[in-house]
Amino acid sequence: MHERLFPRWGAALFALLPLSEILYLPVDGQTMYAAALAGLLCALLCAAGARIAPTLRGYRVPGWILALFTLWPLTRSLARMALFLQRTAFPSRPLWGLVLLLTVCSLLAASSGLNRCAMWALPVAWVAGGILLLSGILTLRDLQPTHWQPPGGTLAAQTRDILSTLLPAALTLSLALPARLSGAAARGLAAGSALLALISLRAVLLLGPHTAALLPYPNFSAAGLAAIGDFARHGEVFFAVPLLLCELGRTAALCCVLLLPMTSSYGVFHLWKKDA
Amino acid sequence: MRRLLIPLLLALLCGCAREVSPVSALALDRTESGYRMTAEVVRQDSMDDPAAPAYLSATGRDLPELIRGIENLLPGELYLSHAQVLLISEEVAQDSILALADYLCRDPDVRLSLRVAVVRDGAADALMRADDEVFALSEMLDRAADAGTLPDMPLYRAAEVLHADGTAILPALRLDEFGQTAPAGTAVFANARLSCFLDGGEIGGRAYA
Repeated sequence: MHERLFPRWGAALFALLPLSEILYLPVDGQTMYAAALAGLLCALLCAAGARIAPTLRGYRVPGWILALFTLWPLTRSLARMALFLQRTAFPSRPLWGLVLLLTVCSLLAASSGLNRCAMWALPVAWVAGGILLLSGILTLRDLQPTHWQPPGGTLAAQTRDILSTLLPAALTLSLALPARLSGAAARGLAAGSALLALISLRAVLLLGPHTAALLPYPNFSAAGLAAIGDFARHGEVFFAVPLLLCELGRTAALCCVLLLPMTSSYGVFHLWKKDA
Repeated sequence: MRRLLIPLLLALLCGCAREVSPVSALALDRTESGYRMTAEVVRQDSMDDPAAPAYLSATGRDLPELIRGIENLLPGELYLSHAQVLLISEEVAQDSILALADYLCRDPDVRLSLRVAVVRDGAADALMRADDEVFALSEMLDRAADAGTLPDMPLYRAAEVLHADGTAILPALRLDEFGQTAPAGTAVFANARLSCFLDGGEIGGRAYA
């Protein structure tokens, strides 16, 4: 089956990568700069990766190397998502069970192929962006500009930390693209990273750098302070759901890359069935 | 594969329907051997009944032990996400409250908008039990913060200023001569310990009387 990945779908798929970092990113006064810087570096590297991706597709060995490498960001994503769910929503559920559930969900989404994953990434990215924006607007009144800090000493370390989680997934995906979508990859990563930096800035200005540093999920906790009157006080739930969908989109796309050497058509993998 | 997902989802998520006891307020007092925590648990036996408070107390040496002690009194799970007020007595406030603020911030069940208030001239749990209406205390503190008669210091702001320089102000409450909860000025913390109280006139705010 011929796969056609439209640039806007590709951009949305790459935007999911930084967006899915939001829930887990530790925040202090330097995080917004680090997120912007890491996003920029990732966008440049992935644009280059996407440029050479169609050339790599002709060879089997790079495909297998890429697939094996994908296991690293994939398992990391699944583990952190399961841990987050266990800590916040399902404390009595075993971690392995949540990992299993998320793996099955990712494989099911991946079985439809990278093209459809990217197609679904577009509405997910818009919904996530809209919710983040709304959450930011609802807390605008409580922001304390005095909490803002200029770039400082921990910026390099923070940038390295963000790159260590964002870059493996982004680079793998860009090297596995079916078409030369370097512009789309760079646009998506830049847009997602801009939102990541803005939401980190919101967390710092709202909670303060000391309180934000105390929390295991500062962006999630900061979203809990966004309320509409007295009836919608648990804003963090509305905040987390689209971001978890972003993370599922990311794991599904990485599963597509993982399954790529075993499929006859790009990323489409009918589990327990032969391809038509 | 898709058929597998439904039983897997059911097996993993059916535990969500657990019995929870929502807490609306907490009070922390000092005892000879440690601390006593009292939780105001919201009870509503049926949809037609009005919500009524029930009080559970446990003693212990630190916050995790106190919370475990209260959980042991309940058949279900203690649900702290609805807790909106933490009252601490003067004796508790005279120790450093930094560890208390840190623990509450780190607990994923506790909301960062929780309001902490110091109870003057009496036990914190006595003040909490004085009102039969659930969430009355938090509504009073919200109104007072909006009007500017008491400091607007939810947990996250208190933790931030305590970490920044150890100085903070928290609202103070007391039982008046009619046995009703009344604002009682501002509790001033220096080095994360209660330093003094300021009354309305002294901080330039409205007189409470």
